[in-house]
Amino acid sequence: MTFEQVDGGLRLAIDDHSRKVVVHLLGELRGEVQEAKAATPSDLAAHMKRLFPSAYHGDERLNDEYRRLTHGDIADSHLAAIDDAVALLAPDRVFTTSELERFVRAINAMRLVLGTLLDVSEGDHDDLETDEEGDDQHDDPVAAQREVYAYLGWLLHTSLDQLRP
Amino acid sequence: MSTTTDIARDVSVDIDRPWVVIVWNDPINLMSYVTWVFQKLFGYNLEKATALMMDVHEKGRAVVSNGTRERAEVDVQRLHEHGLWATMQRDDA
Repeated sequence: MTFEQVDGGLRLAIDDHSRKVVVHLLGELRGEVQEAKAATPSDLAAHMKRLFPSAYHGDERLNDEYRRLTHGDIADSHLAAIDDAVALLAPDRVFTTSELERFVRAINAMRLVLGTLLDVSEGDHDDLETDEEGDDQHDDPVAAQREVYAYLGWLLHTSLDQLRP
Repeated sequence: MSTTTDIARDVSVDIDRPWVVIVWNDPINLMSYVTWVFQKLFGYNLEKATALMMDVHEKGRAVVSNGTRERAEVDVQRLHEHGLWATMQRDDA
């Protein structure tokens, strides 16, 4: 079971290694979002564009206006969710439902960036399970990223289960 | 050549025509996550949120809200904050 019901809410029950990996990745994502916040549309890293989509098809004038009005707020919203998620990953921390919602948003943002880096397409298996475990896999950075991507999908799905009424 | 009446009519049509917010399919977001976002942001019940999510998944897009341009822009921003690929446009209907 990933979440335990405790007094005052829920507690995330994952092993320390997984907890540290997720915290580390959230830290990396935080740095990327901060860079993206300061970037112009042409400077925005390709793998971060998915967190800052355009709002209008084929109308750059309106998109520029939308970005001018919202880009900083969207970046701040991602940063706040990441900071909350890191705090919530402290061992024995109890989540309320609203805190779990922010955790879910941060995990999803991380998954979007990693999925973009991995060039995930519609034909891929939902959770990109890696092939049979082999020694070679541990030396393959892409295989390791795919494993993390699959883990984040599982963590997100499990977290969403807790948000269902 | 436009007359004042023509311009007034065009402006009136623009004002009356609502904007729609469209969510597009993407290969990364989980179906359960998209459904949850629709419920959370728009207050849709599970049945409606699931139907919209299935439209996104199977038809490639779904209109999830409509209204004034300002309202649509707020909805698009909230969807972007939640990691969904959303755009807005004038309603074709």
